[in-house]
Amino acid sequence: MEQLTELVALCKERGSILVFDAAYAPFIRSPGVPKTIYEIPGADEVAIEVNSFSKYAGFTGVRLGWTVVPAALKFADGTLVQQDFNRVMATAFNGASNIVQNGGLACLDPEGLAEIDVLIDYYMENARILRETMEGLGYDAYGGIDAPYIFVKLPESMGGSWDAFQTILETTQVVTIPGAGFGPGGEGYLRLSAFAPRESVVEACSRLAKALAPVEA
Amino acid sequence: MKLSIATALLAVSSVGAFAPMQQPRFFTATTSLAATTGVARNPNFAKLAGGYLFPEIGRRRNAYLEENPEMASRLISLGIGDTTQPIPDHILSGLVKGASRLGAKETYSGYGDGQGQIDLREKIAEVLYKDLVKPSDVFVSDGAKCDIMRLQQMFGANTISAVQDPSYPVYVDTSVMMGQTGDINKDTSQYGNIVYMPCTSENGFFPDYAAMPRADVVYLCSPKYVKDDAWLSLIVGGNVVHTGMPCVVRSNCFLSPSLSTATPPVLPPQWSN
Repeated sequence: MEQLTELVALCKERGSILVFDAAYAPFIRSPGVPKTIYEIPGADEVAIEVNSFSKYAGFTGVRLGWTVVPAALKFADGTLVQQDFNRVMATAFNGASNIVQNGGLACLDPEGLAEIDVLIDYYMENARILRETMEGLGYDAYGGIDAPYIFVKLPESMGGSWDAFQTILETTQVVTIPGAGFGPGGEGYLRLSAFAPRESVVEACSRLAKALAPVEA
Repeated sequence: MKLSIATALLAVSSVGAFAPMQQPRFFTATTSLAATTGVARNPNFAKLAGGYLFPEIGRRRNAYLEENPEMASRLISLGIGDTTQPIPDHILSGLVKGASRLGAKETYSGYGDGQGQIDLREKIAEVLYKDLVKPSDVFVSDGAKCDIMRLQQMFGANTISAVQDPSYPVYVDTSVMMGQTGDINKDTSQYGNIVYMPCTSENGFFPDYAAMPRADVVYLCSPKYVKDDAWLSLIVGGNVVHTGMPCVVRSNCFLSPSLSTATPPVLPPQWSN
């Protein structure tokens, strides 16, 4: 919260626009972690927020998201950013599918929100299993709390993260993502997604536990 | 003629974003083809170092399965964050209702508002934002990724983007496509004219924008990486120490290894190709 407040203030001071990607916001359950940038006072003057129903309503293939462009956000010449974004949407987009928007309305009914909670519980339990498995092997594992991904620090003996990805694929038939795929700063890490079915997660953990050498603390 | 082009296209398989570039497999539409159009390739696309990350993962998986077809039934994906659980009943009923409405004269609808149905915009503002934003601020779309590209189209070519490193590849790749960036530096795997904000243990895994040059647009993923029940463990000299500081880190990117501006990232040797 404090860090975001400082970032919003700095963006305002420097005249930058902050694009805040909140697509995983419902996975945040720790108190005090903002779920939207607009919880930060003054963010409506600097921030755009992009968001999506994909990950928590199972809409990855259905396709439904949204972007918030506050009326208070302006370009250097005073033009409303909202005005130009509206022009993009009006010119190059005819709106989301009317079928799908009805699905979005259902998501936001009390019944839909309760169903989303159950789905998030399911995926976060997967995340817990993955994190605890990797930690049990002595690996330093990040994430899995407030986020449906685990980031695992790789021992140097496994080589680069693309090498580790390949080794794990060949020895366990588990597909992961090498951290380097997210930029040079991700090298040395491996990402595990918690979105697989439970039985697959359990089986993957069993194979990883057998295949990966425990890391000595 | 058509056949030869199709064959050439089939032979193309790009390497991934930030993937080791073992061999150049890019499609170069030059004199090697029997026929070309007179349209020059957008030079910004030529700057892209490889294919999008997730298809590259799929390509490697498929290559493995081609060599080891007996393993197909054993394959488990913990890769791309793709949902696997069915859509629950109430939400599904909304989709079904939306489809059914198209089958009756009274409820049929054609083109809708480009910004989305007003009732959905209102509900998003009310239920998800507790009225922190107005319905008129909400633009409903076909997904966050698509909107990131639309934002880039709005910002245009003359803006400088800042991204977390590591981060969701879409912010960087769309910046390149729009022509905001220079070429990639093969040593650092970074594009010119993008501000890469390291997410390191030294800065608590939150980007230190103040320490970086100004950018026009700063991309930040919703903070959601915490460790040890919201208490951060820092890796210092190979040991895990508890700082007693709550740690929020980003989503799609994750914690980066301890690199700082003074310590260039250690890249696998293939990267120097």
